[in-house]
Amino acid sequence: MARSRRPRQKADAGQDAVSTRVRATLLLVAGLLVVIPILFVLGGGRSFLMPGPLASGHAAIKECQACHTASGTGLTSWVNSLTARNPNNDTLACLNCHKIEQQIAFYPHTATPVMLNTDLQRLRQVADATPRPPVSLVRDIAFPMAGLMNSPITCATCHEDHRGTEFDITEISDAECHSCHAVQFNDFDRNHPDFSTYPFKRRQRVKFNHVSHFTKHYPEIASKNEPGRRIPDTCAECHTSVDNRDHMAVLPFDEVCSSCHIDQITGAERAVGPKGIAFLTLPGLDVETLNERGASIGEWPEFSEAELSPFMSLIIGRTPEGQVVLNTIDGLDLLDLTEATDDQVNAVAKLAWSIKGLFYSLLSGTASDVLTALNAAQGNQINPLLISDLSANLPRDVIINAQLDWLPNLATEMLERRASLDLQGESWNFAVAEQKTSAQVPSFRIDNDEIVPGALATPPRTIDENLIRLAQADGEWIIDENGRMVKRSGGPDSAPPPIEGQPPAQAPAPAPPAQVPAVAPPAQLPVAPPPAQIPAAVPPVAPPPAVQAPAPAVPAINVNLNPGLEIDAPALDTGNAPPAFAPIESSVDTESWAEYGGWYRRDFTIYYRPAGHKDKFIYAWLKMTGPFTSGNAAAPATSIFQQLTAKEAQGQCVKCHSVDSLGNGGQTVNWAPSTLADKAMRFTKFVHEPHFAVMENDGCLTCHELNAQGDFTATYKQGNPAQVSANFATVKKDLCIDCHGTSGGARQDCLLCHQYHVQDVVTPIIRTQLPRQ
Amino acid sequence: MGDVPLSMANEPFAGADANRIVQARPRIRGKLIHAGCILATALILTYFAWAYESALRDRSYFDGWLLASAIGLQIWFHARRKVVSNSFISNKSWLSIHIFNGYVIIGVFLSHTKYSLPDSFYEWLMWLSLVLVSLSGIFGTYLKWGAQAKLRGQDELSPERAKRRHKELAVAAMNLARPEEETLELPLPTAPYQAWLEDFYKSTLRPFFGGPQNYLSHMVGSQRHMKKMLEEIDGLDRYLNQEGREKLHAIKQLVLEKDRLDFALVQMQLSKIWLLVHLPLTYGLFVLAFFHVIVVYSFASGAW
Repeated sequence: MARSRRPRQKADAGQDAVSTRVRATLLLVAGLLVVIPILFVLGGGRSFLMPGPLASGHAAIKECQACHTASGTGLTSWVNSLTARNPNNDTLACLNCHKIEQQIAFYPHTATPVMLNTDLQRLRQVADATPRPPVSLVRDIAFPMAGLMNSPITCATCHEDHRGTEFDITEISDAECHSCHAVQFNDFDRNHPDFSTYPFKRRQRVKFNHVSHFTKHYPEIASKNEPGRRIPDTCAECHTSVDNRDHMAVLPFDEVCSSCHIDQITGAERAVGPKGIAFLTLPGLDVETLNERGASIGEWPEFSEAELSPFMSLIIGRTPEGQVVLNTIDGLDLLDLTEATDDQVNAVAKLAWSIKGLFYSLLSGTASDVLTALNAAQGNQINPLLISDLSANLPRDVIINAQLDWLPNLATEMLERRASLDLQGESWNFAVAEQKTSAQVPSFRIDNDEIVPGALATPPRTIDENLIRLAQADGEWIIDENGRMVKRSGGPDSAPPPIEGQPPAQAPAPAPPAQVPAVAPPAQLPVAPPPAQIPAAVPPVAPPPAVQAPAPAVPAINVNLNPGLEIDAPALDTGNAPPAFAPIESSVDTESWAEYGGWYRRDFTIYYRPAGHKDKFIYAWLKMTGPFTSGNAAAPATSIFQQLTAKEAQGQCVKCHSVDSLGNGGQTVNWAPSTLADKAMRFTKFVHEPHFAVMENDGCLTCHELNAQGDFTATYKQGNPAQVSANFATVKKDLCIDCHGTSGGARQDCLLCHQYHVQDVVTPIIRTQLPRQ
Repeated sequence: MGDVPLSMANEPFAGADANRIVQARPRIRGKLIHAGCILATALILTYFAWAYESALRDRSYFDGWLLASAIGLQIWFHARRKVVSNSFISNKSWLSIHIFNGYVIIGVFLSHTKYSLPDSFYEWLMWLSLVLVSLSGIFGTYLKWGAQAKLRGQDELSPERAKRRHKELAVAAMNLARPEEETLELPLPTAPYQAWLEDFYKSTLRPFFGGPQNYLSHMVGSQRHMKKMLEEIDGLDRYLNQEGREKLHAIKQLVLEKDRLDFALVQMQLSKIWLLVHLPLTYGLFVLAFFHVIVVYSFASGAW
């Protein structure tokens, strides 16, 4: 009996213990199943769910949905993201603060596909020659990378957050680099391939030949003992990393180059040819042949030998009609048109009118009226902000003087032509428009200081406002009571141009030759009447009293801009006004007058002389025309670019600044040496500064060995910047290994010398709007 | 003399020491094999965790699922008894797997937490649960190993039997320590051997045999108390005559048996208590892990 009872007692005791455990287990599980969901919902703004504090930089983010876009704002909405989750959207949320171009944000290294393909091909050449470690083979079997690499790479792939305030979210291990780079460089000294071209992936932007300067130029200058010339003693006198330790910059031109090279820019050392750039010209034309062939071009100096400048070709060729004209006269000797075809003669006539129209427009309007309409080789219209650079703030008086000198009756001619073509509007394009009939070809002559129009089929309907403005500016012409344009000093027999509604003036009797100077009339700086006295338009019947009043005697100051020429100043009715000043004689020619740059006029050309380094005029024109250059040297953009980049071009820009060919056939000038921005799309980085202390006696030459063997200059005779013949040898990997090898003790991880993001990831300033009431 | 004969003091509760010595070498080898297996498993898992991370994936997902699977296996160790009646794996093998898996869980857990303390309340909850489960598991393991080492070859001990045996040992010790019946012969004057034995019994042995002793020492596996007791017995031995030494030797055997009996009782009690902690917490941890997985995948951003 006792035997049978003992096991039962034991069993009962065991059952009790088990049931206690089961009860405790069930109670705990049931409690958790109830309590945890409650805490999830009511757990204090989801902080209950957070796996850990955000990194310090993200500490300001308070809402989960700012990064976890699918989580929503509701108490339980985050559960929906189990099915609606899209990690790409989370990455796009990162881009709200960290600026990366969205098109490349999901690519490896945030690099462009083109860049990736290029580097991949290079890396594959290395990889093919290197056996793949078995470790990576096993890894790829267990956790294949193919799917991951073919899908967008999100930020969170590498950057894990919620790992504490102090956690470095940007830290990436070598193992992570090796995940894609199957051939693993486990250590720098043994597995990393030698440097092939580093650091010269491309030729220098500024053609500074270190070898020739060290061995030739500096010794020559030293032997001449010229105190103003600067010869550096150390590399640091031209190169510095003070501004940014990540970049070894070149000091500015003014500090290191100017003492020897500034005269080459301003033209002071130039022995042959003009020191300025011919910008506006009045090209020489075979006027006699044009007249014989019935192609009237109106007033045109017979003795100009200037050539049409490329700038004017570009301006004239801005319209299809202008391009036709330029194409037709291409290769034609404008000074000898005896062999020219009728089409060519006609085109030359149109060219002449077009040039007149250009001057007319420049005087009656603004420079921007002309230049904003400009395009280079069918490109987009230029930015108006560039106009001041493209025109180098060309003073209007320079053009006025040129017009008075070259085409003194331009205003009348333009008025006549406009009337004859029955064209309206302010545009100067009418100058090259097709003429209606041969009878409408305007003709005029200068007779006794009056502009006498020829037979006009259709008189002008209104007085051109530009004409009035010209008269006002000129000071020599006024609008008489009949709305006629007469010379201020002229008598009643003056024959002004006709105005609307009135018969043309009778042809005056032959008069003595005008006293207008035959070659270069003096530039007059008249004191113009107040604008209010000049009506905008003169009524045909009742002219305003202001016009009826006798024109005041206006003294004029005659300034001879061409001192080599003797000028007869026109007789002025000075009345009681102070006597006119005598012209100031000067032995300085206009080119020398603009010694340090600026505009000047000589013969039938307006020149621009470069005003030192970083000349905006040359920069702007090269910048604008470069991308549109082509193999056709006659094309205006190409012609300008070639003129400004020729070996003996004014400014000598390309003596130092290299020219790179662009993919589309255009060209670009490298204006600045390598900058930190140029390194933005590189995988490799090197900080010079920490290495200065460990250099040996050779200093910089420890790593940068001088290489006198290569043909440095020949590299720049072609446009491909990737063709390099550097002054310095490639840096040797062995130099790095001394410290960054296994026995060296210094770091040798991937990110020491390589950067993952080839583009800087920046946090832009928030676009805060100004407070408004 | 009491009910319990003197010879009973020699009836071994603890098995033969000789067997223990013979079996010691294979047991060490077995432990080394177990340790080797654990180390090899740790290395393999570490490699795969590294490979997983170097494959641009978040390692937490790898060791997290490994951890969840291992906890599931531990729960199956308990639940299978209710679900499966016959298993081709013996209970002993299951227990070995359970213990081995427990050590793996500790390693994976450390990896999953990135060898750092938790940051949030919920993580602390899980962290503490797993730590308690692991500690109780380790405790239970060593409890079992200690019992096996000390109580090897003995019959299963019930509380009732232990209580009865306690009484038997106390009576036997008392009988041995009390003096022989007096005789009429006047003995020659000798040293008071018997009195010394009686004094020793009264001062030391009676409290010892009075009930379960040295609870804490047995809980932590300490032998300090027994060493002290045996030193006292050996110290008395040199002062006794032959008869006294024989009694003292018998008492010593009774002391050893009593100590093993105390140990067995502590084991019995602890084995009930640790399971009361280990088992509910394991299931609770599984529930916490379930919710943890939901949260993790709701807020996941990277690759896994």
